[in-house]
Amino acid sequence: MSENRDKNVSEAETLLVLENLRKWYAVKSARFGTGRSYVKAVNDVSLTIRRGETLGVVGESGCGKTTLGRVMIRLLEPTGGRIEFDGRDITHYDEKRLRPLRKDMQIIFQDPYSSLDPRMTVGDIIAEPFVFQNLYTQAERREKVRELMEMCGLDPIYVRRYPHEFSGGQRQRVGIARSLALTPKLMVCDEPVSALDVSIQSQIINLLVDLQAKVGLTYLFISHNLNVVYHISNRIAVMYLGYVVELAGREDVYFHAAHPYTQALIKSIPKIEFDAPPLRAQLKGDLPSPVNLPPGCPFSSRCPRARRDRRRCEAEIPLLREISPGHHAACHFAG
Amino acid sequence: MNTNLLDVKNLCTYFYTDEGVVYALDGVSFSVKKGETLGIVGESGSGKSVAALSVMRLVQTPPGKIVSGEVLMNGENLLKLSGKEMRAVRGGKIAMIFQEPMTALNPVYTIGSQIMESPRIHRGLSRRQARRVAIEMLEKVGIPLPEKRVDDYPHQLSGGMRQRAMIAIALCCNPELLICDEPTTALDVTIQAQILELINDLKKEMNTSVLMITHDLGVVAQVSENVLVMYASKVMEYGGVKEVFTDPCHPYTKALLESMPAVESGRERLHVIEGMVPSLSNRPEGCLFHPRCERRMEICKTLRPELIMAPAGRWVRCWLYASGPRTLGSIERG
Ligand SMILES: Nc1ncnc2c1ncn2[C@@H]1O[C@H](COP(=O)(O)OP(=O)(O)OP(=O)(O)O)[C@@H](O)[C@H]1O
Ligand SMILES: Nc1ncnc2c1ncn2[C@@H]1O[C@H](COP(=O)(O)OP(=O)(O)OP(=O)(O)O)[C@@H](O)[C@H]1O
Ligand code: SF4
Ligand SMILES: [Mg+2]
Ligand SMILES: [Mg+2]
Repeated sequence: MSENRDKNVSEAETLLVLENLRKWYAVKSARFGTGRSYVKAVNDVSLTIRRGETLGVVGESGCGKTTLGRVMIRLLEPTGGRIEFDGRDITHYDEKRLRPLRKDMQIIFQDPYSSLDPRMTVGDIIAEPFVFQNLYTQAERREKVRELMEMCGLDPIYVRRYPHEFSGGQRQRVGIARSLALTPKLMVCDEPVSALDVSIQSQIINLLVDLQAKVGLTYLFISHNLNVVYHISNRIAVMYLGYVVELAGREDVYFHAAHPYTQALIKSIPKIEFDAPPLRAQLKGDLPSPVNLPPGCPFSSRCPRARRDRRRCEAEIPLLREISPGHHAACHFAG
Repeated sequence: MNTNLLDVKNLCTYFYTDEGVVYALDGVSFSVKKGETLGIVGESGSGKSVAALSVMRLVQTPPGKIVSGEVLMNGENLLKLSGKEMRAVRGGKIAMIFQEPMTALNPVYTIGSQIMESPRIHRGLSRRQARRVAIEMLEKVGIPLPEKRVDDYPHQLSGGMRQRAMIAIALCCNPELLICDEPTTALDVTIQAQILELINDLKKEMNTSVLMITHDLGVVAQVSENVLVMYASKVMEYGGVKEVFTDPCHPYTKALLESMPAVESGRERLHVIEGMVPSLSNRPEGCLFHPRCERRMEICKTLRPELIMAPAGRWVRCWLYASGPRTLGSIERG
């Protein structure tokens, strides 16, 4: 059955295309006085998302996951590249032209505490998108809110309560209900379970999976927890310093990782295993600053493999290339 | 002969708030041998941090109070020490690493002077000697260019380096017990692996005992010999980490392990523990876990189970095991 799910998805049509997408944040340069420098948060990302699939995004804190998710649905202005959504080039759409598209592209946030307006009732929060889009009568809205709450596992009797009266997991359900209100085509889930306890996490993950089956949603699922991403995704993109360094089906990423960073990441997950050798550090040093990217391959400063040909790794940026069908990696020595 | 470094017996710590009494820690007992790591796991609010703070006697008072129990270190009850004696213990025999190093490091002092403080006070070293020690410690915890970093302020370091600096501060007095409260929760897995390896190496090298508090069962599996599973202020299961994780006795431990997404489990639905953790100022009658337990029986709704030694050879608080051999459990209250 799970194979079927992967197969159906691989034959589905494309919903979103990114070509060389780039997002740099201008910051005041401390060192050069008046000069400007840039946080290079997303660098030359090219990928596609198919209808009905879940594309997982993993990577270290600060590697650009949130920025990628937000630029992709045009909550942020891209610095370069191209975004095609549902057949339309939306790269340079202004707010007015984006507005009718907003209902098709939604986002749920990591923090179920700060992302809900504490002065609004849960019912008003969920109905807010209808107000923005000027949809339905009062009575219809009430009915829709009821349906959404039930679909997300919230008892509709709570419709007049305020967010602070709910637990973290329940608040996350409210956020999900709100983003589902307009039956979006693409939903960016930015660490939707990271702030929740394990026992609550599984409730929300199951809910997201059920909703996808029911409504035919497409997810971009961001998380730094590889096991969670593996569980929910069809394909996974691994990011490092704003670059996608590996992109493949979840099994390929997990069991046949081709990029040395992905390999280190997977070996660093602490597992409940007692016969295997104990966890060892896979990498030395920290993530370099995204303001001063290392020359050449972004991973070269920590890469155990770069010793093979340090000159090449430090001079030439490896492109993301297909090393076997559907399996892409950005390393000079991959494949 | 008792070879335990730390024996915590029946510890109860309550908070007296406007909304009522919060039973944060209720009859918690555990022990740690020399050179051994005990993992403490449990969901948010289950009392893990309060347990650590109680051992250190750093519970905020008021509203908190250690109501009863004993914290024996090498047989000496820390709860009986004077404030001055306890301060000496904190800088010397016991050290603690917190989740968020930025709150524990002082932003206005350099890393070096913060590491030097304790050796100067407790070991009476001169400034120069202490600086030497600080540089050595930074080198040991894997901070590059220690001679330069020693004069940096906390904000000049990355998250991983700050956590390493914290460990350097904690270790420079050769503590017998290192308490780590979520030391890697804010870090990425690749940096986490570095920090855990560092703690493990230092433990082997100096025979330090470690209390490792985390909600990540994988971390506990990788670094501890024993594990204490807490739920809503009480110990639910306590024993060897391999035994508890491969063959859990308590329905809560079982459910917790099953609800984690594992790669082997394919894409089936995840196991769900219905409901929520109870409020500690308004706990349910009977077994604290009974409203969420799949195996609950009539007795579970009315009577609190004690912590007993189950046939599997470990401590379990659950009526399913109550017929097993009984040994000294905790004394129940409330
Ligand atoms: N508004 C901004 N201005 C300047 N820099 C920014 C801004 N937002 C993000 N950044 C920087 O861009 C980089 C990427 O940030 P982003 O939030 O996308 O990473 P992330 O992968 O989502 O990290 P995390 O896992 O911590 O959420 C980081 O270095 C971050 O500090
Ligand atoms: N200063 C305080 N005043 C009132 N209640 C407190 C105080 N400190 C802790 N508590 C309560 O004690 C209980 C246990 O808290 P504790 O911080 O030990 O949980 P924890 O297991 O460490 O959770 P987490 O995983 O979120 O860190 C909680 O219900 C908490 O609200
Ligand atoms: S005592 Fe009863 S309710 Fe509590 S864990 Fe055991 S079976 Fe479940
Ligand atoms: Mg983010
Ligand atoms: Mg805590």
